[in-house]
Amino acid sequence: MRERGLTLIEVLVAMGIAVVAGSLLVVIMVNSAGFFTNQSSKMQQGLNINDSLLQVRNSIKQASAVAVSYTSGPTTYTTGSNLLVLKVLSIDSLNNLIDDTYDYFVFFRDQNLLRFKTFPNPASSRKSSDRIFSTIVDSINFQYFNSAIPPVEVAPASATNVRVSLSLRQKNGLKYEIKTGTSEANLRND
Amino acid sequence: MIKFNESGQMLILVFIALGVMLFTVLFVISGAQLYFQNASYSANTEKVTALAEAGVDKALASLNKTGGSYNGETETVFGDGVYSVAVIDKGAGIKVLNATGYIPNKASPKVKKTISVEVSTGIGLSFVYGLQIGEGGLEMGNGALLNGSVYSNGNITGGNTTRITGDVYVAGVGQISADQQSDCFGANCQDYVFGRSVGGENRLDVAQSFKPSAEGLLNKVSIKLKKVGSPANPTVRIMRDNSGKPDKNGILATGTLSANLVTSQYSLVDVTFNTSPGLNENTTYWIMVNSQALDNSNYWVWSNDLAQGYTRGVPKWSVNWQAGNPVWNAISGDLGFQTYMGGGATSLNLTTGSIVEGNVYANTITGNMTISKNAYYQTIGPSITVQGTKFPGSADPPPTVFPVSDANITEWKNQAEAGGVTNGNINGCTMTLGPRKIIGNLTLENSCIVTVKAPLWVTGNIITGNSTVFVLDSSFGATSGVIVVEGTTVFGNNSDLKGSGTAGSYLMLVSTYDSSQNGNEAIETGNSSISGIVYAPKGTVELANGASFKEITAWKIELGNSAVLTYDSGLASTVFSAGPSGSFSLNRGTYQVK
Repeated sequence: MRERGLTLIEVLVAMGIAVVAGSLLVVIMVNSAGFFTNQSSKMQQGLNINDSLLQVRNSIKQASAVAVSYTSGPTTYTTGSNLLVLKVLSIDSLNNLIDDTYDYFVFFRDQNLLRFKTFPNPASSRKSSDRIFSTIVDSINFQYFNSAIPPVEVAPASATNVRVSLSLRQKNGLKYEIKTGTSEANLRND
Repeated sequence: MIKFNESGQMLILVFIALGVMLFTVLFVISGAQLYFQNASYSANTEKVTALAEAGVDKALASLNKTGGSYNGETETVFGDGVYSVAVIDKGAGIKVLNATGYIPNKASPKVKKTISVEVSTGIGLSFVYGLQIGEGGLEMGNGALLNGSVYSNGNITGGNTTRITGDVYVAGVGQISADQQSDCFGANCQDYVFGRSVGGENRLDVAQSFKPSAEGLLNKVSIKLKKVGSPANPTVRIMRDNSGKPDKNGILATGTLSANLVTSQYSLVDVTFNTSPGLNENTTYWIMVNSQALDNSNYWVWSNDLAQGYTRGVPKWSVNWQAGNPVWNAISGDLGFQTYMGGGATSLNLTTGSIVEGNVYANTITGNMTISKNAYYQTIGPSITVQGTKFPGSADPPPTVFPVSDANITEWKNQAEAGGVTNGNINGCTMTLGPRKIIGNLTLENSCIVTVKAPLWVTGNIITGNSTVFVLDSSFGATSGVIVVEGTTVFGNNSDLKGSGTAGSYLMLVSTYDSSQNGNEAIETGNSSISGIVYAPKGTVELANGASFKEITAWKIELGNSAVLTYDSGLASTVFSAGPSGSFSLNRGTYQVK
């Protein structure tokens, strides 16, 4: 028994419907993927700011003082509005604090990187480290305050409170987006 | 005509399209899931740090509430997680607090953080009332304004249009000299240790009996004590006698002995009660001290007179005064104490247009005033308007103990002396003073700004010109400091006592001058705005017209016209950087995130 085939009109109509439906599907998929990428990028920035500020804040809390500078080999890190050197009590092998012995934490912007370096005292059990908290830094700014009411901005060496503002810059589609987060903490061990 | 002889071609195309869609959807969902997990972890890391810090705060508060007997806690639910606190005793009043936060629980935490910090007994003193006055009472000028509460052990009188925004307590006045007392001398003085196990004796409760010489209300008792370590505040009870031992069913009054007022040296420490119990003449009663725990590192020592010079009572100790049939064991000697009877009627007398916005508790309320809340009294005048409820026949409020003891002051003096001694008067405009003992007078010119490194002890008088300000050195941070003066103090106008600049820091002027014996004012502030604490347990403090202040505790206070008190709530938990051991506070340099 011979089967009757599809007419040209039927095929053209079917193909037309398929093209329209397929195009719509592609548009939806492209848009949703773009939206997802866009939102992911913003979330990535936000998470990166939060995590970076958390690391800085926890370090400030543990610090005994803001150091004016720290020299390691040929490099001197000087505390200022773009670089923070913290003086933190060293720890022994049991994780106990060692009196009058200090390690140094340095936070600074290196091009678009937020770097965190640890320079332990020879007597300390803290590990030396060079870590990158963010790769999309646009700017970082440290401000130093005393404990007066209201707080007054002071020289870093006199600070009991440090405020940090971090801006991250990330390409989102064809344009760049900048997000800024600010946090502050008191030195608990000053 | 087109024919398709092979079926299923469209199905393949449909599967391909569905596959692409499925891949895209799964990619988006898995990406979103990943970000959700990252965001949750980031938020939880913040939360868990806050949880651990909450654990530290709770532990510190609990240590102070229990006088150091808090031993930590496990898996306390708080917010989205739990925290556990471990307390490690390092001795000498130092403890390490390890607080760990877990989210969502300790058994299977997604995030966990430990904060370690060292605490030690600092110097915690509590100024609960804006004005606290002894038997000398309070005199208020016209238009005086008190933004806070007042507790007076003597009469309160006020001029026209005075206003008190808090509660007013006027306690029944007491005797100046003790009715009953026991003390020891020389070689007969022996330590009687309790609050720990001694030679197999679990000395938890210790009592001393006495017989009043006359019928009346018991105003307060003083107990001659010292402490080792940081024992918790003991409870002191006045009890009837039951066949030669304290009657556990005969509790007449209960009070708390503030451990902050006791030092490592013997001193008489005052205890007042929730009510002033009525005692009968020549009837045996007991002062029973119930220490909170047996602790071989933190305990009490009661002065014991081996000569048994007190003939109207005996001491005993017990393991448990509340047992079914409590056993009380004899102690050889007499424990050091004093009892003060009282009950003399006192009054609140404010005149025309005066207002008390809180409650009033006084034996007699007279004059012409409006009380916005309730009035508790025995007698009330006809020109008193009570907007709340009247409670006639109410018992007089019991007297309160001053927040600083003689032992506290002695310890500050010793620490000042340890800083060095200056013989002779100091005149002019000295920029920095202390810690030091100055044997002589301190006379300062106008507009001197004096930085004080407390404690500072002046054996003579302090006289300042106008606008002279004492400022606690900034190194004191959130802690407070003290100037002790034995003579009189006269401040010029616009003088001040300032803290270190950090919130919670105060500079306290302590005068030990006895106005009740010598007649003169212990402290005159001039027309000043005093932001520090003024304390004169035996002296009169006189504030000129228009003066303003935050906290005054004195035997007697005279406020000029339009004087203004603005109580600072931080005064309720003031911590001094030097002085007798009291509350626990964080040790700088010990905060650690693990």
